Amino acid sequence: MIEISIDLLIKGIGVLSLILAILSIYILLNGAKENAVSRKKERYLQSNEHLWYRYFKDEVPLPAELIPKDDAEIQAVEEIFFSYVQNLSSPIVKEKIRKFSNQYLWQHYLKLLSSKKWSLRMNALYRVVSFEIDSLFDECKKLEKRPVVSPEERYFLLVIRSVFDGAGFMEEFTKLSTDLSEYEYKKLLIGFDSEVLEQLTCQMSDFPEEYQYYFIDVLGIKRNLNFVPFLESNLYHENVEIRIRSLKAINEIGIVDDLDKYKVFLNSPIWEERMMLAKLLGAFPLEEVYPFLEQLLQDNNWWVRSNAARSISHSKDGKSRLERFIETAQDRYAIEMAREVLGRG
Amino acid sequence: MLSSEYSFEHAVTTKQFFNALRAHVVRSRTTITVVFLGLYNANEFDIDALPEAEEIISDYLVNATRKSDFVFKFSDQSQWFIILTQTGEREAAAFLRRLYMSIKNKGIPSLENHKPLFSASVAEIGNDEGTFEELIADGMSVLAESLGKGPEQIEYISTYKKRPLEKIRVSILEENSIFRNVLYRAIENLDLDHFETEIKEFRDGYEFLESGWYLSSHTHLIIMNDVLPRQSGLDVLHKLRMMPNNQKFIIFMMTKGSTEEDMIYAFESGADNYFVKPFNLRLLEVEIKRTFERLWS
Amino acid sequence: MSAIADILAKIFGGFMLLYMGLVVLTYTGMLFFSFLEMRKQHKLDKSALDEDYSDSFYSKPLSIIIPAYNEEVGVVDSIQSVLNLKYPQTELIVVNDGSTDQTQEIVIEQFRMKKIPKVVKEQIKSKPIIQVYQSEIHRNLYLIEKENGGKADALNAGINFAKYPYFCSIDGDSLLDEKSLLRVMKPIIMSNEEVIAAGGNVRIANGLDVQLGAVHHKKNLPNRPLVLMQIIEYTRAFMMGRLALAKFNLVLIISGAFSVFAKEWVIAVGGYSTQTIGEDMELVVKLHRYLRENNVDKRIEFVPDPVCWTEAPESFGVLRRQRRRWHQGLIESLVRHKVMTFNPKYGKIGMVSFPYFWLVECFGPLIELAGHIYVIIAFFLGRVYFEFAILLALLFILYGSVLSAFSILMETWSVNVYGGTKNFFKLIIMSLTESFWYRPLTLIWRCEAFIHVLLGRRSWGHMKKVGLSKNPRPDGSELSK
Repeated sequence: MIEISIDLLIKGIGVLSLILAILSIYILLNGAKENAVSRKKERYLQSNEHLWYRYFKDEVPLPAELIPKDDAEIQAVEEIFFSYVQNLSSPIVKEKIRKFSNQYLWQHYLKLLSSKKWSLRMNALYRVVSFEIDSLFDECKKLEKRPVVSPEERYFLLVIRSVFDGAGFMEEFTKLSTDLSEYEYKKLLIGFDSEVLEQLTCQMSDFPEEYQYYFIDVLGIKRNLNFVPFLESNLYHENVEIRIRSLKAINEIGIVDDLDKYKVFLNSPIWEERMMLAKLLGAFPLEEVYPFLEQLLQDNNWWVRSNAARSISHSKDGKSRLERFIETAQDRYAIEMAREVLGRG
Repeated sequence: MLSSEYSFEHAVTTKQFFNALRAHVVRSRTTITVVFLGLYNANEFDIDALPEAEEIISDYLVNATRKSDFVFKFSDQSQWFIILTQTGEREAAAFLRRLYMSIKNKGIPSLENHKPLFSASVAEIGNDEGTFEELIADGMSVLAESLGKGPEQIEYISTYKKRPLEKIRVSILEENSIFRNVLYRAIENLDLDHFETEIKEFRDGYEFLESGWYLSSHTHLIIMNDVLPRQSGLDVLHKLRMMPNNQKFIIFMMTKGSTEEDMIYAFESGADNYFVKPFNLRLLEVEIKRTFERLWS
Repeated sequence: MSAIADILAKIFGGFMLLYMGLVVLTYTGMLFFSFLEMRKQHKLDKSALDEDYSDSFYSKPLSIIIPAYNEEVGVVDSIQSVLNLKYPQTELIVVNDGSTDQTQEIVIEQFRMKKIPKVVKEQIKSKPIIQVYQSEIHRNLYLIEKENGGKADALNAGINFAKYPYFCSIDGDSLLDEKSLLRVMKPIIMSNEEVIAAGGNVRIANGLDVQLGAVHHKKNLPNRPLVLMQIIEYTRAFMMGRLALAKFNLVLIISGAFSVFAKEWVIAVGGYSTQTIGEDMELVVKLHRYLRENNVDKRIEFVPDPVCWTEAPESFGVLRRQRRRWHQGLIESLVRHKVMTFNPKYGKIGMVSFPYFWLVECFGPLIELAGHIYVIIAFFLGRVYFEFAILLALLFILYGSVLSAFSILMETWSVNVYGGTKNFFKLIIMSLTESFWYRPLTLIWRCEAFIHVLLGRRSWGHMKKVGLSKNPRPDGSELSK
C-alpha cells in the first residue's frame, strides 16, 4: 500500500511540476503580451496626445488617426480621457468625450458589459459613467435585471441612472432600500443639483433614518445658503442626531444671522450640541458672544472647551482675552485648555 | 542746498539723476513718465520780470507734483523737465490737464497779472534704451510742435514706451503626464505682452529641486500639485519660501478635493493661488495673465 | 520489545502522514480560495476607482501612529513616506518610547518641532508622557516623548493622543506606498462601519531602491538567499493565508507592520496588551472575542493590494530571534484565550480559526520537526520505514517548496510587484529549495519558542538597523548604508 502511495505521490509531484512549468510559461507569455500592449499604448500616446489637445481645443476637426484600432489603443484613449475628466472641468471637452465614446467605443464596452467576469463589467460601468456613454444606458438597465447583482454593480447602476435619467431616478430615489453604504449614498446625493436637493428636503422625513443623516451632511457640504432655513427648522427636531448634524451642516455653510435661535443649546444636556454651538459662535463678533464662549470654555466636556477656546482665539483680540481669562479664572481645566490653544496659535 | 555743515563734492547732474531712475524702470518694473513743459505765452511777460516769474512757476510746479516727482528747469528757456515716477502717460496727461485747469481757474499766486499758459510733450519710459541726450532732443522738438499748435496742448512720444521682453521661467510639477502636457501647451500658447516664457515639466518635487532650474534670478511661476510622488507639494512649497530671494517665485497650487482649512494653510505657507481639481483651464490661464500684468506698476 | 517499537513507529508514521496530508490539503484549499479572489479582481482597473476615495468628504479621518525605539536610522524616511501619502485628513503621531539614541533629536531637527502644552486624556493605561511636540512645517505631525514601556505601551499612548476615530499603526522601519492608506481604508469606508479593522499586505524592501520614503520597485531583486526566502515566505503567507482567511472573516493576525483599527473598539478592549510579545495578534483576538461576547456583528478584513515595505533581518542570528519571538507571541495569545477554542459561543473564530492556529500554526512546527527527525531515522531503519520516510519527505516538499512556488506564480500573475523575468525565475527556483534548508531552520527556531515560553523568558530582540535609504538625505547628510 505504501508503495502505491509513494508511486502516486511521485507521480503527483511530477504532475505538479509539469503544471508549474506550464503555468510559468503561461505567466511569462502573459507578461510579454502585457508588455507589448503597454508599448503599443505608449506609441499611441506619443503620436496622438497633441492631436487630442488640439481637437479638444476646437482647433481641428476629429483627425482619423485618433480613432483607436485595437484594445491597446482604446486603453490609451481611456487614459487620455480620464486625465482630462479628472483634472479639468470643461463642458466642451466633456461633450466631445461623450460623443466620441458613444460613436467609437460603445461596441467595446458593450462587449465588456456582457462579460461573465465581474471585473470587466465593473470597468465598463465606471467608464460609462465617467465618459457619459448614454447609448449604453439600456444595456445597463438590462444588467439590473440579472439574477445576481453584486453591491458594487448595483451602486454604479444607480449612479448611471441618476446621470442619464435624472427625473425617473428622482422618483425612485425616495423609495431606495437601505442597502447603500454611507459612502455610496452621499456620493449619489452630491451629484444632484441644489434645486433637486431643495425639492428633496420636503420629503426628507420619509427617508429611512440613516439616510436622513447623510442627507443633512450633504446639504452642509454643498455650502448653499438656501439650505439654511431648512436646516434651522431641524434644530428643534426630536431626534438628537438630526439636531446635531443640522448644527454641523449650518456650521459648514458658515452663515448664521439670528443668534437667538441657537442660545437654547448653551445649556443643552447633549455635549455635541454644546460643542457645535461653541464652533458656531466663532463666526460672530467676539463682543457679542464672549460671555457664552466663556461659559462653554468652562464646560466639563473636553471637546466643548476645545472648540470654545478655538473660537475665541480666532478673533482679533481673542488671544488677549484668553490671556486675561487665564489670569482671573478658577477652573483648572479651562485654564489648561486656554493655554494649550494659545501655545499652538 | 544743504544747510548743515556737510556739503558734497560733485553734485549730481540732471542726466545722472535721470539715468539712475531709469535703471530702476526695468529692474523694479515701475514706469516713469517725463514731461517737457513749455511756457506758451512767454512773450506776454516783461523781459526783466521773466526770470522772477519763472522762479515762481518752478516753485508752483514743485508744489503741484508729489514728493516722489522731480522738477528741473532748463537753464536758458522758459521750459521745464518734469520726471513723474510710478506714472504712465495716461496719468501724466491727467496731471497736465489738472494743472492747466487749475491755472486757468485760480491762476498762480504772485502772478495775478499774467496767467501763464503752457503746452507739453509727454514721454512714457518703459525701457532703458536710447541716451539721455536723445530723449531731451526728442522731447524738445515735440514740445516745439506742441507749442506750435497752441496753449494747453499735450503731445505724446512713444519711442521709449516699449517694455523690454522679459524672460520668465515656468515649472510644472504634475505626476500625470498627459495633464502635464496639457498644462504645458496651454501656457505655451498664452499671449503675454512683454513676457517670454521658458517652460519645463517635472514629474515630482524631488526632480524639480534636484534640477536646480529654480536657481536663476528670473521670475519663476510654479504650477504644482499639493500631492506629489516622493515629496509632498507642501514640502516643496516650504523649501521654496525659505530660500533667499523667494519673492521671484509665484506659486499656484492644484489640489484634488480639499477642505477650506487646507486651502488656508496653503496660502499661509506661501501659495499665491489655489485651484481645486477639476478646474476650468481658462481660469488658470486668466489668473496667469493677470498675475503677470500686475507685475508692472 | 522491538515489536512494540515497531508498532509505535508505524502509528507515529501514520499519524504524521495523516497530519501532513491534512495540512497540505488545507493549504491547497486556501491557495485555491485566494486564487478565486485574485481572479475576481484580476482585470479590475483599480487606479480609476481609487480617485473616488481621495475626497475628504467620503473618507474617514485617520491617525497614524509610529512607535519608535532607537530608530534614528530609518525614522525620517518612515515619516517622510507617510507625509507623502495620498490621503486627506490624517495626523501623524510619532511616539518616542524612551529611545536612547538620537531618534528624538533627529526628528525634532528635521521637521522643526516645537513643544506644545497638551493634556492627553488617558483612555488606556500607559507609561507617562513627558512632552508633546508639533512640527512647524507640517501641522499634522506630532511627536510624543514618553517613558520607555515597549511597543504596545507606545501605541497605547498614541491612541490616547489621537483625535480621529480611526488609527493605523506603522512600524518605525516600515515604508508605505502612496496609495496604501486609500486602499486599506476602502473596506472601512465602503462598509458603513461594519468593518472595524483592516490589514494590509507587507513586503520586504531589502535591497530595493528607496528614495525619500518611496520605494521604487521593478528592479533586480537581491541575490542573498536569506532575503529571497523571506520574500517568498511573506508572499506565501499573504497569498495563501491571509487572503483566504479574510474571505471568511477568520483573520487572526493582521501584521503589526501595517493595520488600521477603529479606535473606539480598541479602547473598549483595553488597547494593546503590554504583557504579550505578539501584541498585534493579541489585539485582534481580543477584538474578536469582545465582538462575540457582546454579540456584535463586525468584521476584520484584509486587503491584498496596499503595500507596506519593511526591513527584514539579513543575518541568521537576528532572523532566528525574530521568528522565535513571533512564535512565542502566538503561543501566548492562544494560551491566554484558550477558552475560545472549539467554543461555539465564539462562532467561526472559535470553531475554525482557533483550532487551525493551534494545530497547524502553533503545534505544527513541533509535529513537523518530529516528522523530519522521523524521516531521517526511518531512512536508515529498513524497508517499511524507508518507504514511510520517502512518503513523508515528499509530503514535506509538497508542503514547502511546491506550495511556495505556486504562491509565487499567483503573485506574479496577479499583483506582480517584483516585475521582470529574471526576478521571477530567481524566486521560483529559490522557492523550490525551501523545504531543504529554510523550512527546517525556521522549524527549529519556532520550536525554541516553546522552550522560551516554558522557561518564562521574555527577550525582545534587537535588530541592528541597516537602513533602507540609499540616497543622501535632502540636507546633504548621508544615512548609513
